Amino acid sequence: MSDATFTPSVNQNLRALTDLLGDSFDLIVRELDATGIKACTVSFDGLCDEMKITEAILKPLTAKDAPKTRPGTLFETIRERLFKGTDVKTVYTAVDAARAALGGALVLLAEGEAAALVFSVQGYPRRAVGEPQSEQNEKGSQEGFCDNFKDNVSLLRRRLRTPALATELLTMGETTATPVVLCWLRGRADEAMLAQVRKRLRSAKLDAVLGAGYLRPFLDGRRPSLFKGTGVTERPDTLAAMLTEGRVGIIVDGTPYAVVVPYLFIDHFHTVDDYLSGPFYAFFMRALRVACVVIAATLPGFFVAVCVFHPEIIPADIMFDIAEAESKTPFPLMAEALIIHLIYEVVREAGLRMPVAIGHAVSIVGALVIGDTAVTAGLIGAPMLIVVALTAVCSSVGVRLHETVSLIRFALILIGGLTGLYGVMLFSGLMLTDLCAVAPFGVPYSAPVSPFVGPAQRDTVWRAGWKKLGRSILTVKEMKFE
Amino acid sequence: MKQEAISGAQLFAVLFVSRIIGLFTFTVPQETGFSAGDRVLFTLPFFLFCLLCAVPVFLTAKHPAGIVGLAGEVSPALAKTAGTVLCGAFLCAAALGVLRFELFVSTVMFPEGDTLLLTALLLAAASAAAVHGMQSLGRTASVLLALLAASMVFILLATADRFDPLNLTPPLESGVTPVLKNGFRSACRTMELTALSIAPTFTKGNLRKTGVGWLAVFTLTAAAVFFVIGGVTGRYGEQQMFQLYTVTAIARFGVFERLDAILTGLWILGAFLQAAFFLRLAATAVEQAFGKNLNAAPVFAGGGVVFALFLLFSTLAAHTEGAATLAASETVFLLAAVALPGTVILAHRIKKRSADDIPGSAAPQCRS
Repeated sequence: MSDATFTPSVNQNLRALTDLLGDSFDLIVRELDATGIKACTVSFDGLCDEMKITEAILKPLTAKDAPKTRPGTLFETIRERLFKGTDVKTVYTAVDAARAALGGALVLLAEGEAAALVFSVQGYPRRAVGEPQSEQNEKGSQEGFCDNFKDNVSLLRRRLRTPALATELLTMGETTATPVVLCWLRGRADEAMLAQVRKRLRSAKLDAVLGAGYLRPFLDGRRPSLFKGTGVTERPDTLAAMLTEGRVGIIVDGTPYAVVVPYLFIDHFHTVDDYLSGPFYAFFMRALRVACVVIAATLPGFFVAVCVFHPEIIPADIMFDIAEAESKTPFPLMAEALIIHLIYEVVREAGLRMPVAIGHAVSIVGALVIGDTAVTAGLIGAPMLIVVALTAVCSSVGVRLHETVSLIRFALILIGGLTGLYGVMLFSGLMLTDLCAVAPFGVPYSAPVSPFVGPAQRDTVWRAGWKKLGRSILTVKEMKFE
Repeated sequence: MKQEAISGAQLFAVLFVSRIIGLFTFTVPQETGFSAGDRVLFTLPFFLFCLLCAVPVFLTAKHPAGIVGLAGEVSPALAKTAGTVLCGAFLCAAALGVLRFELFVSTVMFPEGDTLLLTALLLAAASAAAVHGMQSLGRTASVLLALLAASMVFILLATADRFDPLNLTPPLESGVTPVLKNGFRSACRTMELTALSIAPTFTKGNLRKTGVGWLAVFTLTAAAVFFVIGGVTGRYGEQQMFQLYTVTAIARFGVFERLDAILTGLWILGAFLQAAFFLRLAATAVEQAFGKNLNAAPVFAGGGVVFALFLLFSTLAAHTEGAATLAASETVFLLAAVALPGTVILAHRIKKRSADDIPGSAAPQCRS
């Protein structure tokens, strides 16, 4: 793109701008006589609010009683007399003007002005604020983030009505020029951490940024790990709560999620409802979620390892039943576990991608054909099916850890089938070390459990009552290691 | 590799978990006349021997850069020698630990399995964990310690109905010699003590307090465990190779007729952590001595060396009925925990004294 600055010639400026924007069918160029000066507007059809353009810009500019101006003074008149209070910016290069037009603004060029005025008249179609899809709750707000970053920031501001809420706009992606908003609470977020977030985002030299997922690898540490120090939330109230804990939020235009850093392991087990219920029930639910994630990750692997290598561990009656059921199937237990889990993942993926209307068919195929028929036909043992069903239900509880849990589950089935409990425990130890090694922005991922942070224990698996919880604020900064 | 500091509590956890694995594998042939009562009593000389050996270690740990830093004040060559000796000692300790664990795997877990492959897997996993650094190991050990404590309490409670005080044979039936001898031998298996001499570089807090606290808590735990083992198994237990395992194998809880899987699981995790800890210590010793940060490759190479040492020790053990490994264990411990710190302290004192004798010169002071 040319970096040339505008000249006083409107024709020359228009040519420079249209050269950059190309011959798009939706490019609208209007020539007009604005208060006696030759001028033109440039905008894109569908990105601007046409009503706003006509009523708020074109009508006042072309009105018969509009004050007459001389070339070179139009923009001054507009700023001082016509559009006081309107969001108007002046840009001096064709590149900046083109970017503004592509962002849904109206660009005004005029004879005698070596600049362009940019009017914020965005009016493109956008998805309305709706219910969060993956973080549904019972007692809290039903508002979730939508695709537009400005709407998302306003959703956040409505929950954090404090001047301490700071936002910073970055533009990312060479081609897409995607708006990315950093948000944090002044005085709570660690400045060093914030600087590091900015540095890492700026180091992301990407051509296109079409979602928050493009940026997360740059925010995660360099060391490859199954556990990520960044998390996402679809809920403005969750993001607001996390900002009060000194974290940094990243809102990317076009993504109905906000990225949160640092995101700790324990955060995967917290929901909004926990804070709206009684502490005992919240504790019970959190403990249940932890247990479900552990079961979802390890149960199939343990089952295969124990049945194949250490049957003496299982009570005799149960063992005989398992042995009888498995003796009728043609596959070894490990292969059976792998196949049935693979089918489960396929059914899950199909359910996720296909239209809702066809979803019922998948359920029927999954439940009847794969479940019932496979057992009746003697392809799969009933105990294995029970294990898979339990695993599937449990993995739905810990949905935010699904990717990690799925990979660990498959690895454990393989390892358990080949090396028994020995390999399973060894791999579990390795995973635990991996989890403990992750430290997003200096905060240990395993905190506040290990390292043990006493004051933070009021909101881990146990949640203290609001009388205690509201007494003081604990930020992630206090969990940072030196 | 960038070394980040761990807290005293994390160091305690990693030392405790690493050392307690040795307790699981504590075996004494019955013919030595080491009765169930002696097993409880021997923890006292064990503690005293450990404290005695800890004196030079604690003295070197006064220096902010540990034993290597203290040796560096005498001469760079001594620092490099100290680092190399410690690295070798930690690798030997890792190999001996793996050897003891392999004995359990080959006799109890997989009597017909390929234990070489399983050992190689253990060392590969431990090397990968050691690459993550001391902080990661410290945090992992804290989690394992909680698991270990909960499991041990559960196992001990599950065996409570089988506990009979009449099973506890009186101590010192064969005199005081077996008690002292086994106390000394057990102390020689406490290679974790040597870690304290290089710990100042990666630990925050009071090392002496952490070290003595760890030894005291471990001794009390060992006494309690041996007391329960004696009360549950009596003379039968004295004939067993892995007594704690025997206890868990006969323990019952509800429909579960044995709880050995819990101990086995903990044992594997502990052996993994122990090997990773010693590998990390070996890497740290080299890093301190040569002033270079090691990346993953040398740590994995260290794992390879441990495997080679394991093969050597297992061959020697097979030919000498375990006497060679016992001797190796004692030699390595006395060299790394007593002789090396003693030499470094002595050399430092001599250098300081000779520097004091020359007017206008003084050796750099160590922080105390």
